[in-house]
Amino acid sequence: MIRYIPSLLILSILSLVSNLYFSPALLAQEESTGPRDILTDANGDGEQIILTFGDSITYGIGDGIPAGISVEEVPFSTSASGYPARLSERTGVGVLNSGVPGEVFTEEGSARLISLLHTSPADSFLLMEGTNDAIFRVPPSVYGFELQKVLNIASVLEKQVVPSTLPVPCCEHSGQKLFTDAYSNQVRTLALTNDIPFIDLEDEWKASCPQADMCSFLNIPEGLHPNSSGYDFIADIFAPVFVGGSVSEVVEES
Amino acid sequence: MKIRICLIVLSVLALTLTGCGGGGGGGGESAAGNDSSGLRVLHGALDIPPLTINPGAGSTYNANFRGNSAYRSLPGESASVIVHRANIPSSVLFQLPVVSDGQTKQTLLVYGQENDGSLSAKVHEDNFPELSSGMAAVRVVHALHRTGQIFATVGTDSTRLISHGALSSYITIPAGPQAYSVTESGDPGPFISESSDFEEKKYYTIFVTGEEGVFFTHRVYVDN
Repeated sequence: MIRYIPSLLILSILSLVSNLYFSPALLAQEESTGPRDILTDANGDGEQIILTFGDSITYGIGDGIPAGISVEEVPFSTSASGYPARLSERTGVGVLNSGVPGEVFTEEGSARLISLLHTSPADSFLLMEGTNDAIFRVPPSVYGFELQKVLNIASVLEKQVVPSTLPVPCCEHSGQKLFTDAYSNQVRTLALTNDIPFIDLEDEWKASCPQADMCSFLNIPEGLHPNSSGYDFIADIFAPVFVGGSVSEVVEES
Repeated sequence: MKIRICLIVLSVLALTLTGCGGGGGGGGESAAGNDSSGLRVLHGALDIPPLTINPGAGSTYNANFRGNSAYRSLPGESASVIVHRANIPSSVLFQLPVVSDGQTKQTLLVYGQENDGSLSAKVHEDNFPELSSGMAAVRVVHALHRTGQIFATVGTDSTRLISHGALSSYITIPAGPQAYSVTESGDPGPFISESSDFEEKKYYTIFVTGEEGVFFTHRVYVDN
């Protein structure tokens, strides 16, 4: 049965992404809009490049392990490809993997991203980081302040940052869920007030994995890093955002 | 920690080499508005999202980080100006009483950071000096977080010392291309050294903001 799950998931995802999303915070409601040029050749170098920024989940740790195998500890692999390689396959554009395992966004992560905003040839920066902040129980407000700094700097530099909410940990890492949920809410709120698109991976994740402890996207019982199915899922959620799908954006509730 | 320090140093070097993402030059972006009086907002708080300014009556307007709203008239002699996070009216950051004599332009400077409790807002009167033919005037606004006093020099004028959250007085200079520089107190060299074309009979604000060790930027605005 497990071997058929990816196909079923892809079918369900295709139905989801046909009317793309960005389900926002309680403060706001969704409004469908027409295609928005999320990915353009912003720097005019003749190429469209996405830089995926994050931690071990962006790096691809846990990839290559099929769903349904018990994994207590996810091995480090230098051949991991994760969702960035899949995103490149699905969008047909270059994707730079800028995942650093163990990185904490509110410590070295935000500084590294700011540096990349200055130096990277990427046209768009996809940001998904915060799981390690949750391990250190960084207050959500601090996460929000750091994210806002990055968004302000990106705005001044005229660089596009598309933040994503976070995957949902489970099992041996279920203790981090309270914090990752709160960080995801920060992403939604800041997307609203900055009037920028974001990707609500967490919302889609929860919809597809209503029972977190049995989620086929994660290596279980480790519960933090996605397996191959999980990376497929993330790439399936991210890809339509960059290829001109109709998106919904956060609008203020009147 | 070492990694963070190295990255910050690299970031500062990159900022220095790239001119910090901009500003300067080109004669500045206008903030003039249509009236002889009014309030405009300079947003210099790096960890704060775009702001919405509600003067109490009439339309609201927004200001982005490093951005500058045009001068907008106040609804009366006194107004209670509300500043909140854009698109979230319930997230009020400041409610400020602003008095207007109908003849003075004022600047509301938002600076500091919420993260460390230093977020502040101050209303400054924009006292434009008389300008004779062939002259322009320039002032510097210091909103660079975690930086003490800065020295600003415009043209050949003597250096002005400016505290965080403060504005220099207008410096009268001959109109035309002029160099300007900004140096942190105690530093050997300027962290901003550029030039701009300052037009006759115009007043300019050089807005310096960001956070020491993270990012700094500046922009030139025309005030009239």
